[in-house]
Amino acid sequence: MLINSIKINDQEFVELKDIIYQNSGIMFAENKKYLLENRLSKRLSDLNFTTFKDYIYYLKYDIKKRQELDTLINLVTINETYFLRERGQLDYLISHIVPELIKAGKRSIKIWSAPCSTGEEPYSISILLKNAGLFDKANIEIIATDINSEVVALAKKGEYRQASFRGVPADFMKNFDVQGQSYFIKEELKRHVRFNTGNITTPSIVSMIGKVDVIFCRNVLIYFDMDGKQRTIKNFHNMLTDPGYLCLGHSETLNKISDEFVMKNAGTCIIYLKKQ
Amino acid sequence: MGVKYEIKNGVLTAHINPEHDLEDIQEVAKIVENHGEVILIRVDMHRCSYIQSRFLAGLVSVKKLAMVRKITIELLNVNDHITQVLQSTNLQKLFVLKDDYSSYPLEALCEKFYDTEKAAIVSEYLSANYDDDIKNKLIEIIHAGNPLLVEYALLTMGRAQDYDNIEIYRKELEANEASVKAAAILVLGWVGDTQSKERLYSYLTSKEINVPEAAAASIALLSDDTDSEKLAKYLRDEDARIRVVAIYALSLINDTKAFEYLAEAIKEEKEEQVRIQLAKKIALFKDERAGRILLELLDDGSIPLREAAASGLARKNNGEFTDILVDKVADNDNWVGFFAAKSLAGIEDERVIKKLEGFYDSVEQNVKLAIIEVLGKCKGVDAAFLLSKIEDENEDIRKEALNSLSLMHAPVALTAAMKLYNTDNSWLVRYKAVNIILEQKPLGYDTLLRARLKDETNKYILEHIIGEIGE
Repeated sequence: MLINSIKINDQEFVELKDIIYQNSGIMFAENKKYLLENRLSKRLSDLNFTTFKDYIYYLKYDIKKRQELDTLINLVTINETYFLRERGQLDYLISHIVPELIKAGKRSIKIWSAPCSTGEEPYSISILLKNAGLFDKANIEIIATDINSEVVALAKKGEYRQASFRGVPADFMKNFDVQGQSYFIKEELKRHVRFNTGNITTPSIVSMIGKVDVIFCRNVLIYFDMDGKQRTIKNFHNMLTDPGYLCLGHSETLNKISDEFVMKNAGTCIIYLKKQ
Repeated sequence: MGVKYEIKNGVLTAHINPEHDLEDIQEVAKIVENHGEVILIRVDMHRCSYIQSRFLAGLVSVKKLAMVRKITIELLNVNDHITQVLQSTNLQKLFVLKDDYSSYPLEALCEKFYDTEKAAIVSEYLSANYDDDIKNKLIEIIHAGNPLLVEYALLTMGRAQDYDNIEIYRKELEANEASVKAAAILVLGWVGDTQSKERLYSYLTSKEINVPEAAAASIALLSDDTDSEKLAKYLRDEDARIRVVAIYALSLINDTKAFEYLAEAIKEEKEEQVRIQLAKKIALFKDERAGRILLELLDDGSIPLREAAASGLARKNNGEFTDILVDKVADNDNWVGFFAAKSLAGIEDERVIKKLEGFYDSVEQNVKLAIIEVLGKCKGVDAAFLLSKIEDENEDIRKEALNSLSLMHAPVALTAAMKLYNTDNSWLVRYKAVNIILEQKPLGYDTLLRARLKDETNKYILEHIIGEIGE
């Protein structure tokens, strides 16, 4: 919010996107210039650079270039997410889903966050469950997977920057230890989350994760074609227990993808229930 | 099914949805054929989360027609999924991809506040087009209280200089979320609410993310003669973060008093990170003493501090320190050398130019690049030195030399560019050569560029040339 964006010119954009492509396989289209400017301006400023050309030379000629390349790839390829994102569903999980499962006699509950990216979603769930005292009432396990092993490694580390705390209430920060510019999730919250690398569209994910009570799969389906969406939802259906809950992103729907779920209006959000 | 479209001032805008197929896009081609006045086709895809493959094939045929008629095609609001399809089918080079927020209804635009990447751009768009509908919608969002939306609703109203709702901004200073509080603080600064200034001081020491920085920015905007002194007290705070915030605020006030407090602070400050911030911010002052302070810091024991000082000098050398800086080009820290070289841009002293050329062989690659860049900005530089560098084995050196030649010796650069476009084995150099040819557009330039297209293997160069002159 407070950093002035450094503009990237056409030649710099082409050179930088090639470096990113050669090192990550991810290609930035012309209309994504703003994304590189947004995500990298602060880094350039920290390194005293005022142009992207200078930064490109730093990536090529500095003795710490390998390390900087890792920093660059992390900054530009990790989809930005944040704690308590689309909070309505998280609150519903805490206020209704988990208490109802416990009331129905469940002593062991599994919640799956997929893909988990850098861990903000599963840790948000862990924090809310802890604050509501629900870890004391049942054996609750949060499983978190992502196809990208590097983001899983970052998630396991549990270190976050300010961008991950968009819109969180002030008292939420008590769940973190501050070290310089970094915020580390407290160990007592970390231990409830188990991280894995896995692809949600493949059938092998079903045996890898096993049966789960709740699935959070938000803002991902939109990137799949119809076949990919159907395969993923089929996997989810096979994995969910009865009752089983599926949380999608606020702009996503199962319309024309699956008729094996019932849509439930959960106050400020939508939850899908597996048909029994 | 039919494509909805309109033609205005030679611009045909076609509104596409996911169900549109080959026949629908062929209809667009017919419309173009029937309307000779069309000079730009805008295909608005904001409703498309996917597209039919036959539609894509049809789009290519429209592109062919457009090429014949010299019409540009812009694909608007293409989502990531479709962009990936265009990339994987190698079709992206044929089209200009753009975002156009005027396609979206207000409700959908405000939904984009959820998107961390797009929120700021959408906010700027809404503030530029601010009217009562937008204002009422933003107030509605603020009253609904979702912090992610409230943050950008506030920022949008502030950017639009909406002075009528100051009470709303003041109320949000009490928000429970740091992001909302920081937005309210910033907006109060933007709208010049001097009544809130004293209250903003209490946020300077907040532990919340971005809140002290926002307070510093707003206090600076609302400052009068007394604020530098008030802020200077924070330069002695035991918390380094607060000291950095005070440095930031004083640099934004940027008057003589503020400068003197910072100049004093750098003598006393012990923490390296805070000293680096002091050096960076001192460089932003026009005060003539700023350069001398930075110059002294070049001899400090801390390498990051020396680099920050050299970077600051690169932006403010007016010739006063040239003799010292030119010697620093050969500094044992190559980034100090790099910035020192950059500080000499625009110098017309032949002695300095010769010295830079003399250092060239003994310095690291990044310093060599800075020297070549700077020589492109110094009048009186002989083309021979730069020309000798377009034979260098390092592709960046060749590219940079070509660029500097183009700034100082355009005809020489053009001859070199036309040769390197055909012979250089580095795509970076060929890309720069294409840029120079396109800038100067010599007679037959399009034939020259087109002649090599069939042998060109680099996709960026292909996209660049095809985008400019067609296949």
